[in-house]
Amino acid sequence: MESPIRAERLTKRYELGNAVVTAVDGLTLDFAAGEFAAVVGRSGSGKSTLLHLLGGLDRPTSGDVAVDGRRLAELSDNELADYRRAKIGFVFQFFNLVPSMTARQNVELPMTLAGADRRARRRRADELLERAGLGARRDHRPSELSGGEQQRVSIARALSNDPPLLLADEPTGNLDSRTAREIMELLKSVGRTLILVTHDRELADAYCRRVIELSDGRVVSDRRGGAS
Amino acid sequence: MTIADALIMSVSNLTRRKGRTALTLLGVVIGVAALVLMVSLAIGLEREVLKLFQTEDSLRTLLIARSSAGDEAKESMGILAFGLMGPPITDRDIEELKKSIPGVATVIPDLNMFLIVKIQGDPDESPRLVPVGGLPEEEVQAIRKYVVAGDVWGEPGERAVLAPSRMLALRFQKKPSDIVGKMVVFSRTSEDPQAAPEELTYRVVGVLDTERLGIKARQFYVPMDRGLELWDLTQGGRMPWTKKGSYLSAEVKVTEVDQVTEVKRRLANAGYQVLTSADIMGTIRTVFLVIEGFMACIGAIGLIVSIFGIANTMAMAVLERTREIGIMKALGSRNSDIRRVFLLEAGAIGLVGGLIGLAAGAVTGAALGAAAGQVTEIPEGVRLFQISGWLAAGSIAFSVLVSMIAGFVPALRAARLDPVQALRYE
Repeated sequence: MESPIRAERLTKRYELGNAVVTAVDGLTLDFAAGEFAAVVGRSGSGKSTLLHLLGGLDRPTSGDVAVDGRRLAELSDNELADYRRAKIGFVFQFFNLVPSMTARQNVELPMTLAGADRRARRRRADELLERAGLGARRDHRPSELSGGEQQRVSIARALSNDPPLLLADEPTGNLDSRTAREIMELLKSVGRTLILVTHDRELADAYCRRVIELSDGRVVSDRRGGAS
Repeated sequence: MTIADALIMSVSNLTRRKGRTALTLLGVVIGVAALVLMVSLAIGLEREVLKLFQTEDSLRTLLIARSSAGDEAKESMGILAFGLMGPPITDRDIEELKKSIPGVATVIPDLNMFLIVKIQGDPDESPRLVPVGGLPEEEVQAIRKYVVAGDVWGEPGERAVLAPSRMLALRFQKKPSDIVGKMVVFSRTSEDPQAAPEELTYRVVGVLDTERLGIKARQFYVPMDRGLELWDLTQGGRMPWTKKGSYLSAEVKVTEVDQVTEVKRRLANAGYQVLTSADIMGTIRTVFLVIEGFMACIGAIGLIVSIFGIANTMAMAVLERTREIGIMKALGSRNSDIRRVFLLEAGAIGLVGGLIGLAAGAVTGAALGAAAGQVTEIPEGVRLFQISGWLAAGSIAFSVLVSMIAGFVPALRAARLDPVQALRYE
């Protein structure tokens, strides 16, 4: 069976002044459906870049990402946007909520972009916020919410178009350890394929069955069979 | 993303920076108001001038002159070539036309007299030149309905005059009835101050409502016989190449307005150049179209200047919301969605600014019109600034268009931002 998401000899190089930096260097990785995988490494190891490439937010210098048999390199910019909207839910370290919108409007945003009906949007947003334990806070703006609450809103937002794949970039990096565990529990409870980028190896070991370690854009280790 | 959702998002974005949005709007409002004010002045003047040709009396009047044979070029010049170089119209021609063309009520020779007038009891001593025309017996009854004070003369031989209400009102600031019975002295213009003033005295028997009469709003009317008498007296009023009993042009009055076209055709066949009210209005419209276009160009300058304000506001907004644009892209918005949101924001500034500017222009025009009425000789009922449907719709459409042009480059830049870079932007 073909894996739902697969990186093939994925390479990304940047030009920084005169120097060429290789952020991701020929990575080939398979992720199984429903897998809960962590990508760890020091900052600059290329883990965030890998996530951006998998999420179609950035294009590789060479190599490709295949999702359900479709190759991202073959997609136009618009198709890539459609891919992000339908297939990917992003969760960021700094939450990245739109500050002028309420929690509910933020959760609605991906559905708004998809052109969903207003009433359906609202119903789904309320339901997702309820599940994230924020039913009472749905009309608050991000500035009125704690970090943990903001991250819950952003997880609800990531789920709003019901994507099969969640990509989380240091989702607990800005939270205290208790809140971080709560967020990890929440992510685990939604039951999607999750690729988590973190520098917190303990957290990765505690929650993820598979831990991939990157250094200088290459896989140093790929361990399976950790926590269940 | 649906257009409705994009619009909601745009409007809510604009309300985030109320002060800046208000200042940008102000630029658009002033631009549109100036545009509306300038063009509405041209429209107001056009409509007021056209009104003179739309009165019942104007509509049943055709101006005629002899055309010189075979001059095709003059035909194409229309109103501008009217009466140029043709042979004069004689008394015999006039009698002939009255008899031979059905629908003609009368033909009135143009005496082309401009005389100095002095009115009894006029506090203003300075001589004033006025047009004086003769009115044939057949037209006396027709003009009677325009008399607002007094009456028409009883006898065709009477030295009586019908005075125009507009001019009297302006000079005397009195009611028309106060003028009836006053004596009026007409004298000719003369370059020689030593020459004995040749003058004739007439009595005002009635005052004409010039607003309803139309084009000849400042003309004094005397009985035709008396008009010819004046004509003899005042060599200066007579065109050099017309002898007694011949005239440069004449007015044909038809009995019913709907006969104008047919009478015009017959007159043309009889070798006359003919100008109807409709012809003159056509030319006026053409002239005013040019004036309105010119006014619009000048008025548009303000709006075009406000482009820079809008472009600046939009560029700032793109910069401020760079991270947000990154978020939108990560969540799967297409470049066109982002572009549309920013374009709609610019367009909304144009729309709201246009609406407020239109209202501001209308109010300013009304105020200026009223103020002008206070300080100058503008008759009552004349509206200097008038807004047509086209002007209203056009100015708002132009405002929206200009604003969207101003927002185009910032919107394009927003749409093309690299999502990864934008998400890192602080």
